[in-house]
Amino acid sequence: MAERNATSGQRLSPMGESLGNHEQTQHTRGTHTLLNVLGALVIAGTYLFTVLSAGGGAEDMTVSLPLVSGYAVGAILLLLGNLQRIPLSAVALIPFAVAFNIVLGQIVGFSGIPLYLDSIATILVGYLAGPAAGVLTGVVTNLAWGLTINPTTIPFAAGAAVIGVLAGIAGQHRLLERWWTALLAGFGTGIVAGFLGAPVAAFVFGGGQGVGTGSLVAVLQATGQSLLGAATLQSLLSDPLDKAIAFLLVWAVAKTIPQRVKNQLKTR
Amino acid sequence: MKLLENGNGLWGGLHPQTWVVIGLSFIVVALAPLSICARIILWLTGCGLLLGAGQGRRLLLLLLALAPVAGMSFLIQAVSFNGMRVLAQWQPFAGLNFAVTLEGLHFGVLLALQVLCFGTGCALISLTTTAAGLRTALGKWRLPPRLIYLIVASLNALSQLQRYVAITRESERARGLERRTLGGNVRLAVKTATTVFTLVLLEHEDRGKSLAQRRVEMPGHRTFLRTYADSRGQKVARWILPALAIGLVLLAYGGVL
Repeated sequence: MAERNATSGQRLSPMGESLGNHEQTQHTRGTHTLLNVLGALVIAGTYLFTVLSAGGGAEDMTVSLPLVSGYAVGAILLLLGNLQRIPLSAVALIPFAVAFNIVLGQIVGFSGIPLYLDSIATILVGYLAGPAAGVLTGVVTNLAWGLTINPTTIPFAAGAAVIGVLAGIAGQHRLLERWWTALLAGFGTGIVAGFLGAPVAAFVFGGGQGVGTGSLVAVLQATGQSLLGAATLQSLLSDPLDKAIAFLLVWAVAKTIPQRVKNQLKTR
Repeated sequence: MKLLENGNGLWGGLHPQTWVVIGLSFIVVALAPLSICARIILWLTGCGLLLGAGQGRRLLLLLLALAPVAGMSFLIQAVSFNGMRVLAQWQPFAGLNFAVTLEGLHFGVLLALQVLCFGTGCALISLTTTAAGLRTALGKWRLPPRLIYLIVASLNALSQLQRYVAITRESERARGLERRTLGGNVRLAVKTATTVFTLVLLEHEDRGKSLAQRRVEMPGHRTFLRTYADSRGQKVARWILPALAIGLVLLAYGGVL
């Protein structure tokens, strides 16, 4: 019977009618925790390696590959560590969250506003379904965006994963339930995201991802800053503001979401 | 009967796995510390591969998208790099020193070419491989089914979201909500976004059930009606290309390239 009703790509074995078995055993939970810790360490280690090894002001092209590889490995470890931690209903939500991020990011990018606003859906999913779903949304957004419209987003996937984690943690600690705590959480997330994204902006794209931000990097470099220093300062000016606005928007949106939907998506 | 789905062009017959390997190998080499000449050769090779795959028009669009980033990264270094051989200088006020230096121009060209090569490497995957092709490639490498679903569904979600928006706007127009003023249209756009967003949130549970019924998480062989032709030569090439890329990277770090 199953054979007769089969469609393309369907697996022909019986399976329980559940929304994905996300109940974890002690063993798999330990593996996932290990992968997450490793992922976070690889990303932090890559950042430190880049900052310590990059020649200040010199023509340094040797750090791009280790930087992107390290961030990619970190993001993959975080992906694998969180893939099985969320229910299928949350998995089904992520592609649309990704599409929202891409559409908003592209619109804001074209508008000339010196913000990104490309992580609103990541923050919302992190708030609704927890840090694991936030990580997946962040990484997949940058991958899908890079593979469809804008390749320059792919190296920032590790930063997007961290934004998802921090949004999830903020949600768990009820920081997105008051406007001012949401604003503070966004500001803090922006600082972390700014630090993580700056080496990519500097050594992969030369700080030239937008006319506004690029001009700022040029001015800061003309004051005697190294390329990494200029890109970091520029990121620390843009990212906290961007993420504070994004968290504030998520706080406003979250107020309109029915409690039933919030309860359905809650995970660890 | 299975339908073969390989693309058009000179290299159109390549399997999606081969394109993904070519793209990833290209990206790795693109980020290595190559000289200007090596970067130009690499970029032209990438463009040649895309032209051979019949992607000339989309390559042009991609270059138009990458040109501002590459141009800006060149300009930043061209006017503000702290080099020794100064060609021109401008000090609007103390502490701010814009200077065109030979080192800055060299570094700017290197960065601009790196941006172009990186973008072309990504395009070697995205322009030559459809979402279904990527699903086949990732499935053959036995990646977790959830990950494959997430990536492929996200690539398709943009067009699906576009369809939802079109339906919602049509219904809003039918109810006479459309206004001819800018403010009215902005309000309508916000209302459309809210409606689509609520719709997606409300149906996530059904989508989850549908995924469970489709056995999306069950590992093992999957049979698709559409498949892609592969060959022994391509299978060998998929091992040789990454090794070649690693070799080129080692040569680049050794200062040979």
